[in-house]
Amino acid sequence: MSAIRPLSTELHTMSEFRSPTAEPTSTIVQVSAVSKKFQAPDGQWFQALKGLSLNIPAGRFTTLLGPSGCGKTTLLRLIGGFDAPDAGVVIIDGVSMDGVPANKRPTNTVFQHYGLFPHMTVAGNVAYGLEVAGMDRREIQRRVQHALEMVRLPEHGHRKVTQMSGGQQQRVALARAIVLQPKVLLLDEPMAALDRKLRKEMQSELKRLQHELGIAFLCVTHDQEEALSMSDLVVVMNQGSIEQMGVPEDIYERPRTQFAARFVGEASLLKARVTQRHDGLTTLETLNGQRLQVSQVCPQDEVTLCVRPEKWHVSGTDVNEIRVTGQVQESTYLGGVTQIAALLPSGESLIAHLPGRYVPTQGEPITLACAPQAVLVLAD
Amino acid sequence: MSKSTAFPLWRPGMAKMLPGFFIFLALFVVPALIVLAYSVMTRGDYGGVIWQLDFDAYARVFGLPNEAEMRDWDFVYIGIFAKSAGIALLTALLALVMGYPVAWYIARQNDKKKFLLLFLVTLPFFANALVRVYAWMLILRSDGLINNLLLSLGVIAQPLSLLYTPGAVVVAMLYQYLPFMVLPLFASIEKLDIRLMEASQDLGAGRGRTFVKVILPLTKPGIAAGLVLVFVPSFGNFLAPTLIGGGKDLQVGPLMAQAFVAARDWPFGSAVAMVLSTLVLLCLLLMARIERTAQGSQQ
Repeated sequence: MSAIRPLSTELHTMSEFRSPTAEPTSTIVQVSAVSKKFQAPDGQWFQALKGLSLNIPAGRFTTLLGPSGCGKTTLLRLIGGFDAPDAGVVIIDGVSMDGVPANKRPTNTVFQHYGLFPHMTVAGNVAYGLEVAGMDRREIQRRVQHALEMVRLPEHGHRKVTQMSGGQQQRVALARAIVLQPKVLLLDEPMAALDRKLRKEMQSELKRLQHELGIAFLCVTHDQEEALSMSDLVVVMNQGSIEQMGVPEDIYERPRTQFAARFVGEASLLKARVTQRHDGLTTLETLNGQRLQVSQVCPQDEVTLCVRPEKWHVSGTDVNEIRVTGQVQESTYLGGVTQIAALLPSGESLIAHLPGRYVPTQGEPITLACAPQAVLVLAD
Repeated sequence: MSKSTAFPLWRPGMAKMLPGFFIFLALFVVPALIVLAYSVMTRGDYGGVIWQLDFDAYARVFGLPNEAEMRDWDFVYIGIFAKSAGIALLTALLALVMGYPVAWYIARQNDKKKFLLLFLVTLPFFANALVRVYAWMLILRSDGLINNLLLSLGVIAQPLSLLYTPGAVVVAMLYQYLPFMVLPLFASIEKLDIRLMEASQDLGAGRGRTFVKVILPLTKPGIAAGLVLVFVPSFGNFLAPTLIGGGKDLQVGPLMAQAFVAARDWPFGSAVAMVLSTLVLLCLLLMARIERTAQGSQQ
């Protein structure tokens, strides 16, 4: 029923989507071919990282995003020096970290549990690393005060850390790490213990801090919204490997794999078959009979297409659009948009976000359309 | 209007405490008062006391001169107290050094293994204290285990005199009271958040500094409790100094026994007991203070 339409989508490289102000960056942490396995209490071996390689840019906010067990925290711990890789090497600022213990690395960590010393005051905690480094007492005081001002706790130095709220404790942990001016600041699920509102606040706070300090932040999170809002570079991880990396828009607008499409944001995934390859254009046909042409190279005959929910709209009159008809299964008002889950004749389901409060009844037929450019061909 | 004080004498639920209260009263408070009373009475010629106030027993303990008895300053008993305290302190410190790694190891095991190891630590308590001290006599004496072993290995030509030395007393008491050190240390170390060690390392501290700056302060309550629990019974110990110390160098425990039994000087024995109890009480107060400050910094 649909005519064959050319699709102008090209493969975009990451660099094209960098913000215009960004100058070319150097690499601060180089992870190459790192593997790590752990033995579970039941004796089973678990491969946490599978020969992973990654370059982390200097002076940028990088996020490792993935579900629990994907190896993101393991990777952070290998960089911090709390675990040693079974194979591969971590290089920080050009120096191999092989055999270098955590206390000798130019990294500092904000732990998920904060790890504040309960027998010390706030200032005592922040001063700890400087005291270890043997810094002059007056200089320590000055830097501690400066760090506390940076995290907006200037008046709290004398307080016991146990008297602080969760959000304040996290700021203390941040101050304690940044006061040492590490080359890389590692953040392990820093917001996990905070409530939603505080989390939002801390996200922009972290972003601001990173900007002011100019040091590389490497943050581990399983929260895709957090990753997209804070980061310059998002690394999507799954089962010990990198699934995709890129700037946030890249990750969301151009997911490369089914996992990346599903894990970051919502997506409708539709199976399609290659029916014709001609002049660099590939013609695809979905299970529901829609046909479209893409300029992407599709080596396999079966492909998966991805459409983000906000790309759909209720079918209009534009003949160039891709159009599908299905039955409404569920509609959920999300505030601002209504999420529609529709069942297609092929048995696949489709998720669409329609503006405003749209109340179709269950089972009602619905025809949705999207621009051909909104359809992405995934690599797997 | 209800009268409220910081420590009301009677509160609901206190009835349940009455049996314990009376046992404590009858078996501790009353005997302690009897000892206190005897310590300030006049010595009877064949033991016992004459009911006449006399503080001379304390004067003798502290070595004060007494012209009527033609006594000059004499600090021999203060010396005995000091030496006993020294031996007890050495025992407690050695117990701390030996007990800390043990407690650390046990605290890091899984629950099942922890239970087993704690049971093994307390196992010596199942044998009578006298038997355990006698065992040390067999090990330490000139034809005992250690000397025989060293002689047969050719390390020494003549048996060493190990028994009847202060060192032997320390070893025997150390063995006897080590569990008192391990158990409170275990309780403290188990509560320690092990992740703080990673945090310390992350901030640039090596193992030594992490131990001194983070682990020691956070396990201070266990250290204080262990030191007191070993020091107190070692200080007034009777069995080990008598059997293994040989009575050559007198310590507080045997001194008390001698005063009551050999010298039939009940007021003096009682006075020694009161001074000892007071010193022990001061130790306990000190420990309570340390624990309170440690808790204050954690809560």
